[in-house]
Parts: sequence; C-alpha cells; structure tokens
Amino acid sequence: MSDPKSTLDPEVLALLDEIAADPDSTLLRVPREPLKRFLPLREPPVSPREPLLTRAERHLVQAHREYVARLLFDACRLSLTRDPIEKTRIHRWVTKDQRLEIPVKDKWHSWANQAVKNPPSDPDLSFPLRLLQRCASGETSTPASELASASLRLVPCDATRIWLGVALHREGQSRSAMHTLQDVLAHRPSPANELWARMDCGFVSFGCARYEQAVDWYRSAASVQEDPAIPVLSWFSSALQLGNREEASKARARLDEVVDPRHPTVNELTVSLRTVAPSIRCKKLLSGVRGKLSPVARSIVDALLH
Amino acid sequence: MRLRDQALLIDFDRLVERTLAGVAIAAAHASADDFIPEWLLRQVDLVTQRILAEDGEEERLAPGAPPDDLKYYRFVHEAYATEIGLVRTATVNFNVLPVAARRAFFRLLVDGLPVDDCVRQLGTTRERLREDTLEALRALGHLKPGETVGSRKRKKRESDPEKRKPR
Repeated sequence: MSDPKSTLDPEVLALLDEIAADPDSTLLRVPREPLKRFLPLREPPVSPREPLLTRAERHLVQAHREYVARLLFDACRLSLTRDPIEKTRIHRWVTKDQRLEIPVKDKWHSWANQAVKNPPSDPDLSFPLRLLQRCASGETSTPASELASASLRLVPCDATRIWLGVALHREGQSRSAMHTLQDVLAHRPSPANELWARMDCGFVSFGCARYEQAVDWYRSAASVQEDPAIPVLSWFSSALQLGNREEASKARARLDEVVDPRHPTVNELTVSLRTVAPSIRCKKLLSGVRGKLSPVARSIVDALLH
Repeated sequence: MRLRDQALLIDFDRLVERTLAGVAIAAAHASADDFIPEWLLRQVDLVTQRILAEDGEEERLAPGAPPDDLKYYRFVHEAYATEIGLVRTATVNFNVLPVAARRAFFRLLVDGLPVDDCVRQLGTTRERLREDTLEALRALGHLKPGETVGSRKRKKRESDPEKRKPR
C-alpha cells in the first residue's frame, strides 16, 4: 500500500497497511484491476496529440503506430496472396511511386513477434497488438478485412482502404468492397491509388458478373496518368470476353500505342486467360479479328481461343 | 535527392524528424541481417508515403482548412507564395499531381531551366510542358480551375473600358 506514487497522507497509509496486515482483512481481497482505476498507479496513456509531449516524442509515438499499422497491412496482404490468382494479380502492382513489395512471411513473423513483446503505453495499440499476436502465433486465421480495418483505424490511408476493398470482395462482401473503393475515388487520390482503385472496382464488378461495368472501370483506369499497360490489357481482354466489338476496337488501338510486347503482364495475362472458357459472343468476335492484330493483341486473342 | 527526384512538396525538417523516429522504431524491431543499405532507403520511402497520406487524410477531414500546425507548411507560403490559409490544401493538390507535372514545375520555375532544356530533360513537348506547369500552378492556388496564364488580366482589361486599347 505504501506506493511511492500515492499521494495519501502517511497516517492513512500506515492505517491501511495495518488493516492489510490482518489475514481476515477484505482489503486484500479487492481485485487489483478495479483498484487501479481509483488509485494513481497507472502510467499516463500517450497519444500523438498529447500536449505535454515534445515534438520528438510525438514523432516517436506516431512512428510506433505507423509501424504497427504497417505490420497489420502486410499481414492482410500476406493473407490475400495465399490465393495464387490473387498473388499474380497483386504482384503486377509495382507502380512508379508506390512501394508495394510484400515482405517474406518469415521476416514478417520475426518483426511481428518483436513488436508484440512489450506492452504498449499507447492505449490505441492494445487491440492492434493483440491482433498481431494472434496472427503471428497462427492459432486462428484472422480475416484479411479485419487486419486491414485495424490498420486503417490506427493510421488511415488510401492504400489500406484499397486493400480492405480487395479483402472484402474476397470474403464475399462485394457491395462493401465497392463502397470502400469508391470512397477512395471520391477524395482526390494520388494517380497510383486512383489507378489501383479503378482496377479493383473493375475486378469486383467482373467477379459479380457485371461485365459491362467492369469494362467501363478498366477503360477509366486506362485514362489515369500512370503506367497504362495493365489497365489497357485488362480493358482489351474484358471487352473481348464480353464480345463487345466497338469497345475491343478502341482498347486495341490504345494497346498498340502503349503496351510493349515484353511487358511482364502480357505473359501473365495470357497464361491466366488460357483457363477461361470464352462465351459464344466472344468466340464470334475473336474469329473476325484474328488476321489483323499486333503481336500483343494476337497473343491475347490466341490465349482466349487456346 | 529522393524528394527532388519525385518532385514532392514536403518540409525537409518534417521528413528528417519523422525518418529519425521511424528508423528508431523499425531498428528496435529489426534483426541484424535487416541492416542493409536499402533498408534505410526503404524507411525514407515509407516515411515519405506516410507524410503524403497523413496530409491527404487531414485534408479529407477538413477540406480547405488551414493546418493545426503551420510549421511544416510555412515553406509553401514562403517559397511558392501560396496564401497561408491554403498551404496544406495546396500541398496535397500538388503532391497528387502526376509526377510529370510536378517535375515540369520544379525544372521550369524552381530550377529556372530554359524551356528547351526542360523539354529535352523531361522527354516531353512544349505544349505538354505548358499544360503540366499550369496544372502545378493551379494546384498551388495561383490559377482558378480552367484558367490559363494571362486570361485573368485579359478579362480585367476587357471589362475596364479605360484600359481597353483603341483598335
């Protein structure tokens, strides 16, 4: 009871010590956790906006939050890339100004285990660190959307919102996924995030069998001022699959203009298209265009006809 | 170097302070084999991305409002003459421009390179360079949307009969 932080009068403390010394005393049976709430035993919580912190301390608190948020973000991406199709799709996204490398699983485990070792002084980190611990231990599989949401609550940013959209779609919540992705587009994102969000809107629409909408999304992604190769390839291949001659013709013109035949996505896309069964409309369209194509367009058409 | 290459508007002190904190936290959790030269560069890139995202989020919460702490935005007012109340909005608008537009602004108006040198260095055309620079000026709050250089003065002149030159 004689805690140095206590401000109680020494006489009162002595009395409490005497009472506590009695084995029949109920004072000893008071659970410690509720007691802490009423006695000044807690360490003061910290937050980046705490006015008593120096600027350097605020940077450290914020950097710690960002570190944990990043680990959760990476956990979400590692969880999504367990699916081989998603892995190929995700690895295409190395754009000019976005660092998107996903860490190796073992590395992530080592960082996460280090991060959860010390209890946080920042109360906002309690739940995220528990979640990390759960992931690192591998006891239960945490949904990717839960990981992205926890990261987003800690440090909001468009990149995490986009991954949350992908995760929600993977978990069968396509309406929420579209809402999340469109929210990114509504708030002036960076060109890389805009491209990525539009492509994922196309991906979600395609997954929901809204093919015409998907083509619209891919076309709009191709007009973003970023590397247009991937959206144009998606635009062309989806227009062909839909059997839309006019759209495929516009996409082909752009494809011939901007896509280098050596672009790695060309090969990845043709491999994945070989697993698709083309519709009757698609077959009809493909048979008509085969003779007059550039090498990239021809490789896509051939992949669809396999 | 990396800020210049990406032509981003970020206060240098802010980047250094935040990188020091980021490196301290990441180093505390890293193992010995993580410490390769690229690790440090990666930390700088992550911090840069975080600062851009942080500005974007604050703008999303209070569009057009002045920042709580002007310290890290004052340079935008001092170096680029953006109104003090618009500094964060201008920073966000500028930093989400395509990198070509940001580089055009820096080469032409900050470095003061001749137009032909800019065109050659950036691999662009004179028309594209003009469009990119105007876009950057719009982002910094010096032109209204759709306005081009000189049109404001021309309009003023045309609306003022005394200043209108006789033909």
